[in-house]
Order: sequence, then C-alpha cells, then structure tokens
Amino acid sequence: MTLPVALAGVGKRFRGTTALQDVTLELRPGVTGLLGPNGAGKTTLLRIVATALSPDAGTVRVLGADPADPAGRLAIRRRLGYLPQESGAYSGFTAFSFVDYVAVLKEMTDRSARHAEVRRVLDAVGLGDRAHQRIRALSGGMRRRVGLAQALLGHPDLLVLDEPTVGLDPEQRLRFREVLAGLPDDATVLLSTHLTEDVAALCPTVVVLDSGRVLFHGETTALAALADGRVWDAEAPDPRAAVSWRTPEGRFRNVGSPPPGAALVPAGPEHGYLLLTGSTAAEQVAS
Amino acid sequence: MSWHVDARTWTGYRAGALSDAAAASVETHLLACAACREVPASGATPEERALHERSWDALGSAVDREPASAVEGLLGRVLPPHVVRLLAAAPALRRAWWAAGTALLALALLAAHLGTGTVGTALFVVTAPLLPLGGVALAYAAVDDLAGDVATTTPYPRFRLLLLRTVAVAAVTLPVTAVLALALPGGSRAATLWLAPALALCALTLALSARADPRRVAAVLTLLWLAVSWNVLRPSRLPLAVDGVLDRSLAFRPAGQAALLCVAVLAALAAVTRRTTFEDRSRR
Ligand SMILES: Nc1ncnc2c1ncn2[C@@H]1O[C@H](COP(=O)(O)OP(=O)(O)OP(=O)(O)O)[C@@H](O)[C@H]1O
Ligand SMILES: [Mg+2]
Repeated sequence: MTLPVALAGVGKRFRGTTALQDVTLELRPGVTGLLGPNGAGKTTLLRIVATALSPDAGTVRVLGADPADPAGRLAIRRRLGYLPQESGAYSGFTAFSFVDYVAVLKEMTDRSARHAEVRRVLDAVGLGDRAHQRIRALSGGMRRRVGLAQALLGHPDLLVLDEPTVGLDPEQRLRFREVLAGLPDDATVLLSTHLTEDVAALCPTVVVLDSGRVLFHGETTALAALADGRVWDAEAPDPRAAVSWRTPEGRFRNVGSPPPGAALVPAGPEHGYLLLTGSTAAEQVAS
Repeated sequence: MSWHVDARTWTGYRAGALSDAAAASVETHLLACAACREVPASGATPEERALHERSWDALGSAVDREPASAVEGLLGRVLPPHVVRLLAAAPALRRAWWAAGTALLALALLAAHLGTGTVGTALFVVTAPLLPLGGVALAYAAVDDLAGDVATTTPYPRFRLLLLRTVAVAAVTLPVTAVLALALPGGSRAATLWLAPALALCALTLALSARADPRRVAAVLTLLWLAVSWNVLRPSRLPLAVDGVLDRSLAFRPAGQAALLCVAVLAALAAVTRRTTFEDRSRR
C-alpha cells in the first residue's frame, strides 16, 4: 500500500527564518494531529502537504504522487480537501455561493449534483440554515465552518485541516468530531491544533513539531506514556520540573523529574507534550 | 436555531391534529433546521418520510433559485452555469467591471470635452488601451485573492481562470471603447489606433502573470506604454494636424502598430504554451 503522505528530509526557509528542518514523516490512513507551539512550522508543513507551497529541500509524496510535478499535483488536488489557517477574502459571498464556487473549482460541473453536494457539506457542519447569509454577516466560528464545509466537498481521500477547531463552540466541536468519525476508514486526515484536548479526543496518532523539527510521532497514548511517573503536585513550583503551573486548587503541578515520594498524578498527552516542548525551550534558554 | 419541535408537537403534527398555522410553523422550521429534519427521517412512517423528502426538495429548489445578479442572468444566456459561477461569483470581478466602465465613461466625457481637436484624440488613443489592461489586472487580482489557498489547491487550472477573466473583461471593455472611438472626430485612422496596443497590453498581462503579481505587471506595463506614447501628448509649439501628432510616437505609425500586433500574438502564444507554469506562482 502506498502511504498517503510521505515526507523525507523536508526543509523550508523564509528569508531569515527556518520554518521546517529535515522533516521526515510517514502518515497512515486515519486521523493524525499536529501539535506545536506558535511558529513551530505547522502551517508551513500543512501547506506543503496541501500542494500550496513547495519545499526548499527534501522529497514529498502525497497520495502516491509528487506535488512538484504538474501532473502529480493535479492528481493530488483532485483527491484533497484543504482548510487553510487564514481564510481568503471571500466575505461578499453567501455561504452557499462560496462553497458552490469552490465546488466548481473542484471540477463539479453538473449543477444539480453539485448543489446537492454543497447542501450535504453545509449540513454536515451545521450551516444548513445559514446557507444564504453573506459570510461577512456570520460569526467567526461559523466562518470557520464554511471553510470546513468546502474542505469536505467531494469526499476527499486526504483532508488537511489547519486549526479546524479554532472558534468552535462545544456543540460544534462535538459535531466536528462526528464529521471526522463519519469519514471512511481509508481516508487520511492531518489536522493541526494547539489543544491537547483535541488530540486526545480526535487523533489516535500525533506528531509534535517544535522549531521546525519533529519531536515525536506516534500513538497519542504513547505521548501520554512519555510523562508516566513524571507529573506530580506540590505546594510550590519545583526546580526539577521542565514546566510548572498553578492548578485551580491552588497547588502547583509539575512535569519533569519528580523528587522521591512526590504526589504523582496520572499523565495525559498534554503532559507528554509539555515535557517535549518544555525541555527544548529549557535547552534553548541554556544554550 | 433557538427552538426545536418538541415531542408533543411532533405527535400532534403526525396525527394531523395541529391547527394549520401551527403545522405551517413546524414545516417552516423544518426547512431551516437540520436537527429537526432528522427526527422524521429516523423512525418515521413512509408518509412522514415522503413529507421529509418534499421539504428537502423545497429547500433544494429554493437554493437553486438563489437570486442571480443582472450580470449573471445575462451571462447565463450564453454560457454554461458553472462558467457563470466562476465569472460572476467574484465580487472583485464585478468591481473590475465597474471600475473599467466608470473609467471609460470618464474618458468619454473628457474626450467629448476636449473632443474636436487633436488633444482629445491624442488623449484618447493613449489612455484607451490602458482601460482593458486595468480591468484585466483587477480581475486577475481577484483570481489570486479570492479564496486564497483554497482556490490554488483545487484542480481547476489557474491559467484557464485567468483566461476566462481576460475574455470576460475584454468582451465588455473592447466593444465599448470601439464605440467611443468611432464617435471621435479624429477620423477612422485615429479610431483604430488604440486596438493594437490594447490587445498587446492584455496579452502581455496574461503572459507575465504566470510568475508575477498581476497588479505589479499592470503597473509596469502602464509606465512602459506611457513612455512609448508620451510624445503624442507632449505639447507642440506649432499647431499640428491629428495625423501629424499621432506620427510623433512610433506606437501609432504603421510599423509600430504591426509590431504591437506581433507582440499581442506572441505573448498569447507564450502564455498558452507555458500554461502549466501559471500554477507555480503561488507555490513559492
Ligand atoms: N510566508 C512567510 N513569510 C515569512 N515567514 C514565514 C512565512 N510563513 C511562515 N513563516 C515563518 O515560519 C515559521 C513557522 O510558521 P508557521 O506559520 O508554519 O507556524 P505555525 O506552527 O503554523 O504557528 P501558529 O501556531 O502560530 O499557526 C514562523 O517563524 C513564521 O514567522
Ligand atoms: Mg499555523
């Protein structure tokens, strides 16, 4: 079986900044979460996978094709759904006509079939009753859902979603979870987020990116397991911790190397994530 | 949606026991509320399911009848609907049309004002070719801005989209300019001189937009064109006849006109043969 996404040694620089460095990554069908702090390179990585950007170094294969080659790019785009982090300047459209416009760009020429598909995706994101409002009159979360709706057009084999849950209320997050759960098993989803809760709820597999490098790629449970026995509560921030923060109860939760006899707390993916990114942050400060 | 059809209303509705007003209110709500539509769809009698289908169809045809603008209506008579969607859906494209139209009108008024003499004619032949250029550049910018990365990562070729827009803008601006030109007092020669540069500038904008920002391309071409045709506008000490003024720039002499037509053809050919490079512009 060809892997839906395979990157080898991928690098990307923007003038002075290195956005990605030697990224090697192979994704399998299913939902993969991309976690990382601001500026980690998540958007850059997603844009490369979505054929919006070409890398400076390395090789990229998406759905078995090479995006650097025009024919390969076309083949990928026919099977791709992409939600960018920044939505374009389409605020004068109604939700329906925007999604319909994208559907035409996705080569759906038959009018009634296309309109049925547009209705399907708008319903899937819960915007069936807002279809004829101008996008500029929609709330931020609804606009995000319009973006999500266009990504779902035509049942893509690969969905690349850049921060799909930003701005969604709890009910819509649930709906989004249902949309992902309703996708066929052989579909591949790569989504970026800042929320470890999203990853825990949505993504069996996770990639942690920091400063343009892959720090972790594996099962979400394995990310949590990294922090097993390394999370503890104390009355004060502990100097042995990579990260500490105040809990709502007024105690301090620490992630790092616990002292003997520490009050250990069960670890979740957020602790594994903080352990990884916190320690690189600490190294950067030290060096 | 602030309310949903509750169980008691459903029961009444199913039994046909609701007043007409209440039933109509349920049906209106169903048209708008996906969640409530699912209620009759799941675990419903065939009649109920048929009703459900009908309400969906009603919504569907309401959607199909989305009000089309006058432009869309007009285009719909000659073009397939999906092409109309590509052309008219873009608000920026409509803006391009309006801008080009307004500029043409202004030019017409100016020419009429200065009209009878050489100055009006000279001004017209220099500025008229810039209008289609401006319209095309605005329409292209719309292609690149509209929907941003969403549009660039769809399979639809950017070249075809640009070409569609060029034709759409040219189809509006060129005939209007031609009518204006015929109304000019400068004679038939002056009335045709704007066409070759207009075609050359449009074709060059198309070809150069493969790699560069169309707005920048248009700005550079405008400056180039003004440099080439500037002599025509320069005031002269002796009063000159129209032909004499026009001959002051190479662009309006027969050789220059032939060269401009060649440029137009070559630029169009270059754009067509290198059309795949149009996709690369956004990928850097
Ligand atoms: N078009 C660009 N021009 C210049 N620099 C860029 C560009 N795009 C990204 N960068 C830089 O590349 C780095 C990675 O950016 P990227 O947008 O990929 O991060 P991110 O992980 O998506 O961040 P966020 O969580 O804030 O969305 C940043 O330092 C950013 O400043
Ligand atoms: Mg980002």
